[in-house]
This record gives sequence, structure tokens and C-alpha cells, in this order.
Amino acid sequence: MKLLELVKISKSFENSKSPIIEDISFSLNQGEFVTLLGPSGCGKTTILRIIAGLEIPDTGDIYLNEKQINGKNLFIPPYLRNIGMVFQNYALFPHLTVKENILFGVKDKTIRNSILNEIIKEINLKGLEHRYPSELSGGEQQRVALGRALAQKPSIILLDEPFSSLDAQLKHSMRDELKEIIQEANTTAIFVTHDQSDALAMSNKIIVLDKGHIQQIGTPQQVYFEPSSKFVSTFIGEANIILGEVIDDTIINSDIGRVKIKNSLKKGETVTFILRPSDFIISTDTLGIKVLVKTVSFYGSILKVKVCLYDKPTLQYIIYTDAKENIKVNDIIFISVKQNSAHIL
Amino acid sequence: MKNQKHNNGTQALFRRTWSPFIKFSLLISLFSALPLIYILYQAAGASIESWSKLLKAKIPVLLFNTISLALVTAAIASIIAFTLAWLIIKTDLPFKKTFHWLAAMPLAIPVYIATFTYITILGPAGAIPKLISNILNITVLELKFNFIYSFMGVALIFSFFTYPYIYLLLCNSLKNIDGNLEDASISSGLKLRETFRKVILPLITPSIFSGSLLVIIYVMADFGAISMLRFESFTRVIYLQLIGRYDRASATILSSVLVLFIYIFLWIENYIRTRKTLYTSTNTQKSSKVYKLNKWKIPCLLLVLIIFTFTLFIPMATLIFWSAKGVFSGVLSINFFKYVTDSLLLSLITATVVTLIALPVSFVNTRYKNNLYKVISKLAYTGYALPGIITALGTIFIFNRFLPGLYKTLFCLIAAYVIKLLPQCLQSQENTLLQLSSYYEDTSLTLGYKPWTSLRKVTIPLMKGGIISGWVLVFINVTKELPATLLLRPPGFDTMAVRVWIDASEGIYTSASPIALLLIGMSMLTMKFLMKYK
Repeated sequence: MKLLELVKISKSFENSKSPIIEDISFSLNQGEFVTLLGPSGCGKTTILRIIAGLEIPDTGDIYLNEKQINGKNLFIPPYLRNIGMVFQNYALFPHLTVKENILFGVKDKTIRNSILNEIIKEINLKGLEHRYPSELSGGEQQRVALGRALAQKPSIILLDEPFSSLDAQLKHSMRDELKEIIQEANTTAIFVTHDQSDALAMSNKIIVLDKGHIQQIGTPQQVYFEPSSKFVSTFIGEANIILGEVIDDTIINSDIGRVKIKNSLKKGETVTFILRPSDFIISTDTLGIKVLVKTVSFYGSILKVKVCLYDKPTLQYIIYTDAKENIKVNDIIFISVKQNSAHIL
Repeated sequence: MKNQKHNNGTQALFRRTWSPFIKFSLLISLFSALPLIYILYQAAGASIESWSKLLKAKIPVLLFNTISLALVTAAIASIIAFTLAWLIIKTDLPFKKTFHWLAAMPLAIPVYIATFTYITILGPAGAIPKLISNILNITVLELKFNFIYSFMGVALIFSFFTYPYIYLLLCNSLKNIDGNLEDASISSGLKLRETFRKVILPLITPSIFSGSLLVIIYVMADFGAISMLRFESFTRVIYLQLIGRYDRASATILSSVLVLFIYIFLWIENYIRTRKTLYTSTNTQKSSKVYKLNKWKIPCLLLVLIIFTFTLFIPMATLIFWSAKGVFSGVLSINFFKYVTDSLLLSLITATVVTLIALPVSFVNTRYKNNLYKVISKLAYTGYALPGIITALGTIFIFNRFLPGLYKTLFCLIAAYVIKLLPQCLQSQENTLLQLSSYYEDTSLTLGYKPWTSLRKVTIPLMKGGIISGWVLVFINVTKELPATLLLRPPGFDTMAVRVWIDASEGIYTSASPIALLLIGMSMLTMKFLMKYK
């Protein structure tokens, strides 16, 4: 059973000509953790707000638990949807304590205590119930915001850029924690981010958006290894985009030599394919293509090397290699491509 | 919080949810503009003869008088404000905190009150002329000491009590100067004098201009002090046309011209304020440098004390003197307490009415981003720079024309106050609302509360500070307001301000002074409260 379904949702803002989102359709099932991923201004937050009922789409239908909540002449207001939302910067009520924030939306007096205990345990904030938001750390604030939304037992929880105000260190630990809390609460979540590493790490389904349109829907592995377009391939991770000509069923000839692919293509056809930086092998003997090292950056677990073709210096590639490799700027090295790693766009 | 980006998209929903509020705000905005529109309409309909007569004789003289007074006052006020601000902010003068407080204090003294204290001292029959004539052994009439009524006399009095408008802005920009800039200038070999001219002056000029324009607008709109000093300016002549000759056509024409010029200055002020982005404000900013006075410390201290003598000591001491005299002669009768309580009750009611009207308006003004609405909602600010006398004139017209039964009732008076004071209340509420993310309301909605409940449970508690300071501002300004009250009060109903003005104009200083002191005391408390709140 589909928990939530969006059908051809479009919306334009009053003061602009082009629509902010157009023909957005997707659905999700109970228990999924879905990410809306895209650069800023792609309309992802607007989609989230439309689902929450904080904005009205121009056209399109939305179904929640098979019941229509948005459609032509139909609009269920946010306070009747039971969809939880965690806002960017959390919007914790500064005049209320942690306890009062969490219980803000719980109107049934008889269950307040049991809900509070349950939520405090889930978000692991025992002992801080009487603090004010200003007395909490960024991570604690985020957990309170999450707890406040979960206290409603929402059918879906929406998270708008939950990590945007945390520093990198905290963000990594909060990512795992957030995922655990949401799984433990047995809730379905939609999460908006512009950071592809958050998306890859947290979700089991990614919806990639650009300029108000859905570019691709898939698992993290699918969008990373089989991107549907140039945009997706460069937005998620780094990618080398290369032109080539099919010279045999499964062989493409290109500037970086012959590349073998899985599926067969028509001979003579010109194709674009991508190679991830980790799809290369570096050798010091003359096997492979001769390249010149332009820059070398050390990233701890890997070494990122930018090279250009020795014969055509305008063609540049990014390569990840073992961090212990001894490569210096202006070295001349030889590269080749791992088998079956090229993905045709 | 960066919520502006998404506000843009919520408009359809906002319109749907808050349409009664939007309609109410539009109505209030139009109502606020009504008196001015009516005056302009009447002036446009006045006969060509009245226009040409006024344009030939009266208007050029009045324009010259009013604008030259405003400009000279602004110039003197700038000098006073700069002297105080520089010494208090940028040097190691002692007692800085107290001095800063004292320097802002003249704002709490209504100029018409300060004026009558100066008249009792420097007026033709005042204390000093009496002293001189005694020494010279002639009568005060023979002495003909008329300085207070001269152009310079009027300009000095106004500048003594309006300079804080410039002072406060100037302090702010002096404090915000990045000490790194001054260090950079000095380390590149410039002397302090050159640093001042090349680095500091360009940074503080906008606030001097901005403050001066506020002073200019204040002087052009003032009625109480101008009338006491018998200075031929627009407001006084308009008042005389209404009271004496009852020549409405002339009054509307003169009002239109005055409003035109006030709006021109207001526009310039707005232009300067929105353009002055010269300030660098980065995290690495160093605090503004403080210079040592060394041997100049005592002379500078004396200079500051001399200024305070004119701006605070003389008026306050005079008021205390006359009050003491009055109390001993028994002015504190039942009558006295009656108009004090009447006055406070009126202020209380008006402040509450204005606050309640402002609430939906400020909410819609800050949350609704519709272009047409934005234009119309600006009309709610019409009363901001409108001289009280013109607000009163417009209200008289409107009530006589549409609600004659309510003319000169408290209802009519409060309506005029709403037009005049709503902008201040709105500004105070809007400032807090702008700092409140609309995400708070959104959160409440997603947690199952209806818009109204969200407003009550979230928005209003969070904007409490703005609501209270707006209320206090209106309260004190109703208590101090003179021209509109004078013209619109019901027969037999006096406020403290009206009482002070009438008694002082008739020379009954013993009865005017105790009320004046009470008024000033209240104003000072208000200022202390508002300065603390911010």
C-alpha cells in the first residue's frame, strides 16, 4: 500500500514567470526513508511544504493513506493532516522548555506523561526536560525538534535541511542518530538536502531534482552508479564525462583509450559515458594512456589526482587512488580504465 | 533565520487563511490616509483666487520662515549633538554612562514645556530682563528685551530640545566604526585630524544628515512651541485660520503646501537611510577607538556641563521652582487631579485601542507579500509625519461631513490619535515580527493547531516585547500630544498637555509647572523603559 502519492504537482510563485516545480509525481511506502536531493532553488523545500499543507500547489493531487488531501478544489489544511515537520534551524519555541516544546501539540492531557517519557527516551535527552532551547547544543536542539514532531505520532515526518546549521563533525554523528531515532519510531520520513553525501548515507530512496523537475528516482547505488543524466552524475559525487565512438559491440574508443562496456551498442555510434574517479588504475609502466599530473590533494583515505592528457592538455580527468601512492605534481603517469566501469548516458 | 525565501510561496494559503485580517488591514490603511486625502481634495477644489492670493503673499513668506528656521535649528542641533557624541563615545571623558543618559534626556521634555520655562526667564518680562532693568533702573518695557522671540532665540530653543534625534543616531555610528580602519589610517601616516576627515567623517555623515532631517521635519510640524514663541510658521497660521477667521479654504491650501514639503524631506531622509551601507560589519571588527583627552579633560567636562545647563538644568530648575511656588499656594486642588486622571485614562484607552488595531495590521504587513497590498498598506503610515494640526484638520472635515453627531467627542479624538500614532505602534510590533521566523507559526500548524490558535499560542507570546513597547509609546505620546487634542477634545475635557499649554500661554506658571513636571517624569520613565527593552 502506498503511504503517500504525489501526482503531477506544479506550482509557480506570484512574482516569477517560470514554475518553481512542475509535474512532480512520486510515491512512497510505509517505512521508507526518502531524500529529495538537489541544488538550492530546485524546489525541493517547496515540495516538502506542499506535502505538509503549508503551501497550496497550482495543480496536481496528493493522496495520504489512499485518502486525497490535495486536489482540484480540495485542500486539507496542515493542522488536519497529521504530518510532522522539522524545520531548518528547528524553530523550537524559545519561550517554552524542552518538555513544553515536545508536548506542544499533545492535546490529550491523560497521555502527556507517557508520551513525554517515550519521546525523551527515544531522543535520549533525559534530564534536560526543563531546559530552554537557548541552553541546548545544536545537536540537542535538533533532537528536541524531532521529538516534538514525533510526539504527534505522525504518519510521515518531513525534515527540511536538518543538518544545515550543524558543523561537519557533529553532522556525521547526527546523521546516524537521526536515522536510528526515525527507524526506532517506526516512521516514514522525507528529507530535503542539497548535500549528496547526506542523501547517499541516510536514505533508501533518492529523488534527484533540478530546476523544478525530477531528474531521477532510485536507490543510492542506482543514482550513483547509473545516473540518468549529466546533471545527476556530476551532482552526486565527482564524475568524468567522456565522449567516445563505438567501434565494436562492447568496445568504445575515446581519448582515454579503449573502454569495454557491459551492454552492446550499435557500431559507429557516438556516445557519452561517465567514469567515476575510482574507475581508474594508475601504473608507472607504459601500459595505458600517458597523462601529466596537474594537482594532488590528500584526503586521508584517498588521494585525489587531477591529470591532463599528455598530448591534449585541455582534456582533464579526476582520479582517486590509494592514499599511500607517491605521486607529485608534474609527474608523468599512465592510466587505464577498470573493466565494465563505464556508464553510458 | 532565513525564512524570507519561502515566504514568497505561501501567499495563496495566507490569503485563504487570513482574508478577514487582510481586509481589516486594508480598511485601516485607507482610513489612516483619509484625512490627508480629504484635505488635498478640498485644497484642489478651492477657488483660484484663494490659491493665487496665498501663493502671492502668504506662502513664500511662510515657506521662507519655516524652512529657514528648520535648517538653522538642524545646524545648531548638529553641532550640539556632535560635540556630545564625540566626547561621550570617542574620548575618555569621565561619567560617560550618566552623560549618555543625560544627553538623550531632552527628548523627554516636550518643546512647548521647555519653551515656557525659557519665556519665564528670558521673555520680555522674564527673570533676567527684570534683573537687568533693576540694575539699569528702567522698566522692562523700556528695556525691550525680545531675544526669545527672535529668529535665533526660537532656533536655539528648538535645537536644545531636538538635538537628541541626531545625537542618538550619531552615537550609534560612532560606536560602529571599525577600530581597524582607524588603526590602518594612523599606521599609513595620517594624523588624527586627517584620520577624522578622511575616515571617520565619511562614516558618520549619513547619520548626521538623517538625524538633521528628523529635526527639520519636527520643527516644520511643531505647533505648541512655535505658537508660544509667536513665530509665523505654517502650523501657527493654519491654527489661526481655523480658530480665528475660520477660513477653511486657506487652511487646506496651507496644509497641502506644508505636507508637500514635509514629504519631500521625509523622502530625502528615507533615501539617505536606505542608501547608507558604508558600514563594514564583519566578525573581525575591532571596537571603535577611544582617544585620550589629557589636559583637555577639564575644559571638555565644563563644555558638556554648560550644554546640559541649557538643555536640562534651566528648564527643570524653573519647573521645580514654579511647582514649589504653586504647591504652596494650593494649586493641587480636586480639579488638578481630575484632569491628571482624565488624561491618563484617555491615554490608557487610546494605547489599548491602537495596540489592538495594530496587531492584525502588523501581522499581515510582515507576513503577506502581495505587491498591491504592500502599496496600500504604506498608507497606514500616513500619520507618521503628518503635523498634529493637519491630522486634526482632516479629522474635523471627515467627522463634520460624515459623522457630525460624533464631532468633538472622545470617539473623534481617539480616531485622530489612531491616525497619528498607529505608525509608531505598528513599527514597534513589526520590528519584533520581522525577527520572528514564520516557521514558528508553521510548526504550530503542523502540530495540529488552527491558524487562530497558533497566533494566540505562538506568535503573540513571542512578540510580547514589541506589543508592550508599542503600547507604552502610544500611551506617552497621547499624554504629550497637543494640537490635535486642543482642536478635537470634547468641551470641558482637558488633558495634561492641553492644561500645561493653556495655563502657560496665560502666564499661570504655578499651575502649569506641576503638571509639566509630571509629564516629563512619565516621559523619562518611558524612555528608560524603552531604552532598556532594546
